[in-house]
This record gives sequence, C-alpha cells and structure tokens, in this order.
Amino acid sequence: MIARVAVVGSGPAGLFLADALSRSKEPVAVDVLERLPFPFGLIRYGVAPDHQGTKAVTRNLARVMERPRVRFFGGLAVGEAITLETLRDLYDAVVVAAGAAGARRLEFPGSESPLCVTGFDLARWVNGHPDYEGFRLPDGIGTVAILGHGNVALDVARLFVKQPDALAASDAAEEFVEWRRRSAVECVTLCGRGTPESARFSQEMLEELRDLPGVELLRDEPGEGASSPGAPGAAGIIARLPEAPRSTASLPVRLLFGAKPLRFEQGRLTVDRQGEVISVPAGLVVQAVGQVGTAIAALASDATGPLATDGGEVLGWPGVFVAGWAAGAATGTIPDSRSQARVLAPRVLEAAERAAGAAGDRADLADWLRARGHKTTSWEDWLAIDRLELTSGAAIGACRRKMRSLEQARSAGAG
Amino acid sequence: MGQQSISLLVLVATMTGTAEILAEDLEREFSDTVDFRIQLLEELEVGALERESLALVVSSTYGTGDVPETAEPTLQALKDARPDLGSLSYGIISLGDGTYVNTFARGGDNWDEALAACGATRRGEVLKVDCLLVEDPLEAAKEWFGRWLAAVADPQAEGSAAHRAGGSPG
Repeated sequence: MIARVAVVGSGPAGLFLADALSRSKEPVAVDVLERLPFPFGLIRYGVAPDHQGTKAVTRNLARVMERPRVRFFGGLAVGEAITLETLRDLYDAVVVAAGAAGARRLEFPGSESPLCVTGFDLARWVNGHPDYEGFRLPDGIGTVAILGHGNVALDVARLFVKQPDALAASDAAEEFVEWRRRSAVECVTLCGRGTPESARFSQEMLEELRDLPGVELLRDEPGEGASSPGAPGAAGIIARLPEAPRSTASLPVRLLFGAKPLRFEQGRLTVDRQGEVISVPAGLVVQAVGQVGTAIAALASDATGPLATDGGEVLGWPGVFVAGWAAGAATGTIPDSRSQARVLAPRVLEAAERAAGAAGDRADLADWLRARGHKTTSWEDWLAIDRLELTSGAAIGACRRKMRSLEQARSAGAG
Repeated sequence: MGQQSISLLVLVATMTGTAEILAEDLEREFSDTVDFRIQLLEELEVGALERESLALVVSSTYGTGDVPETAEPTLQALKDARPDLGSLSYGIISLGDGTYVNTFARGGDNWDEALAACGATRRGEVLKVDCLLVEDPLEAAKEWFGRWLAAVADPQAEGSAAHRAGGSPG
C-alpha cells in the first residue's frame, strides 16, 4: 500500500517537503493543501516584488507539482473546510507547513495607531495578497520609521525609496505603485536595538539599498564602540557609510543603532538611544521585528516560541509534523526550508509507512470533498491562471499581474 | 546507442534546487551518449574525486558570490585536504542572479579555483547563466554542454570564447 501524506501549505516549506518526499525511492502519494486558490505562499506574497530572481524558485517548485502522485488542492482552508483531525483520518501522515500566524509586534504608546503597521502586512499588500484588498496607506506620509534591522526592514525601506517606475515593471500590486506615485517619501530611518555587528542585514541586500539611484544610506551610531571599517560583511559596509548626506537632492535612509521605541505620536517616533532621547520623523511606523505563531489554530498554543515536537512530530498529535515558520520559530530562509525538508522527509515517510501498514483503506480527499460539495483548484487550474497573469501583466508593462480571487481569474478568462 | 557512453560525474551545489534540476534535465537530454552520476556536493567525500577522470560542476551562487552555504564545508575540505586530482578533467556551469552585478555567478568560480589548485584541468570556459533572464537554464546550458562534450572527447577541439547565457543585465 502506498503511503499517503498531506502537506498543509504550498509555500517554500511545504513544497520543498513535497519535493523531498516525492524523490524517495519508495512510492508515496503527496497531496498539497493550500488555503488560497493560488500556490507559493511566502514566495508569491512575502518576497519583495522587485526580487524576481528570488521568486524564480517557483519554477523549481512547479516541477515538483508535475510529478506523478503529487496533487494540489487550492482554496482549501484547514481548520475551516476541513479539520486537522479529518486529515489525520484521511492520511498516513500530515505535515503542517502553513506559515506563521502573523507579525511580532512591539508595544509602546502609539503602537496601536493605524499608522503603525507591520512589514508582514506591508509585504502582503505590496504583493497583492487576497486578504489585503482593503488595506490602505494614507497619501503624503512623507517620512517613515522602520523598526528592525533585518532583511525585511531592508525590503520595506527599498519599497519606499525605489523609483515607482522600477516597481511598476515588477509584479507589485498596482494600488501600491499608484500610492507610491502619489506619496513622496522624503526620509526613511531604520531603528534597531543592537549594533552594526548584531544587525541581521545580509551584505548583498544592504549594498542593493546603498546603491539605489537617488538614495544615500547613512549611519547614525553612538560615538562609543563604533564599528570598524575593516569588519567583514554588513558590519564593514555600515562602518564605511557616511554620517551626513553628501547631496541635498538625495533621499536619506538612515540606520539608527542602539535605539528602543518609547512612543509614537503626531508624526514623530521617540526613541531611547542608550539614555539619550531622540525624535525620529515618522509619518508612518513599520514594525519589521519578525513573525510569531502557527497559522493553523488547532496547533496554536499560548506559549511563545517553537512548538514542542519530537523530531518535527508535534507532541500530542501523533502523525502530525510541522515544517517552516509554522513550527513556531519564525526564522529561516527559502534555502533553509529546502535543507530542513531533506532532514524531515525521511522521518515523515517512516511514520507514514508505519501507519499505512497498520491502517485499512482510507477515503480519498477528492471523494471526501466531492461528497460535501467543496470545490478546489487543481494544478492545471493554477497553470491556466499563471498564463493569464503573465499575459495580462505584459499588457501593462509588468512581469505579472496577480489575480486576487478565482472570480477575477474566471472573468479574465481562466478556467 | 551508436557510440560508447561517456561516464560523467555531475557535482551539484544548490540552494533552492535549480542546479539540481538543471543536472537532471541535462541527464534526460543526453542520456543516449552520457552515463550521468549526479551527486550533491554537500554529500561528497572529497577524497573520492581522486578516482574520477571526468566531472561537471553545476553550482549556484549565494550571498556575495559564494558557493551555496550547504556546500561550503565541501569547498573548504577541497582546500584543506588537497586531494591529488591530476587525472581529473572538469567543466563548470555557474548559475547566478543578475540583480547582484558585482558578484554575478561567482559560485562556480570558487569550485574552479579549488579544483585547479588540486591539479585538475578545466576543459572549456565556465558557463555563466543568469537565472533572472533565462526562463529555462537548460536552454542556455544544452548548447554549451554539447560543445563541452565534443571538446572532452577530442582534446584538440577546445572552444575558447568566454560564455555567458542570458545576455548582460546592464
């Protein structure tokens, strides 16, 4: 009997796991269940739209979905249309790779303001995520303060200062590009608690921001213990940045170190920098300090930090594994998810094969859904939508124009 | 199969699977004439290379022109252990992202330097593929690989022009 595995989530963690599982010598049937009608999760909705090279990993993941015995069920929300318990009845093993529940948020007076948003939300809005159709930023915010010193903070800064024409050629949501054209940004400050050495910027992304036309990347460090220009990686780049702009025509992007937010009011973010109180211009505050939790409510616990597992198998949920950000420790890159999948897949397979040997015939998900009148999108449906997105993007000079819903895709001619 | 099959060890260093897929696609395309053995560099024991006569490295590029993180220990092992690779000929396909102009597709160059330092001989120029511009790396690599195979089979007919697929990002 062929073991059957359900993978919940079609982002990098889910699809690299489907990749590793479907490469195994023992035949295994893998069903990928996705809440949205469209695949690719973080790659489609989290990676910045001007990083198409990073998004190109979808080509590799699409190949996984074309393999025999791998199926896609889009538009199927686990916890709503189907429960995790039912999945356990239908499959020999279940892997939850549905991502994080949301952004981690720092709390301080003013952090509840609608002008204090998260990088998590912003990335999804900019990427045309179906859940963010109603998201809006007011025009004319002028200045932006970003909390966090990681690559998401760099993405956010770049999206606010890059020429709108350059963004229009990407697959960024048109509402965002239009908003950028209407709303000039005069200055961006990235506030981090730590030092240049402890910042989590990658060198290449810091250089990309530094080298943007019309932008001057500046450093604002406490005088004591300033970083060394000879330091390797991002810290050395930071140490070699100027402290004051060389040109008044350029748009300053300032890296502020050792800074803790105190309050946000009336266009200013007040921060404590090692006892010194500084006022940072901030028409908008963006929190980019990580993600928390598990997108699948049944697994969510009150405890912060990673879910308790035994080698990836969730304690109290035999046969249920977690992968990627859903595991609760919301860190890790797209390549990390491939490496982790290669470690987790043999454990999932072993558990699935054991369960398949012991279990009788299980019902097929497609039959289960049909009996209840649930409609889902197949991989062929997605391929038709994909072609449509590419051609309608080309018509407006964009590399892709994302569909927000199945209805929109159908009225535009798919399926 | 009209002719004797060439035995080729394909060494793959990948971050997100692109290099691995390219190796598998080349295998499918050239399986009539070449006997492929695909091996991930992250799982390679470098001493085993001393018994090999022909290898193709397919490597992606990570960070600021580095090899994929997972394969970094293997690169270091090559540099430290210095296996005697005097009888090894090799070719390199290096994948990169043209967004990062200064360090574009340098991943493969790192393997080139390390293998050469162990006495191995590179055949043909390093093929650099810009995955941002090339829809399918196989299309870019197929022609190069055909010429590389011919050069390997006939030492006199070595191609010389540096090659870059996908044009220049600017």
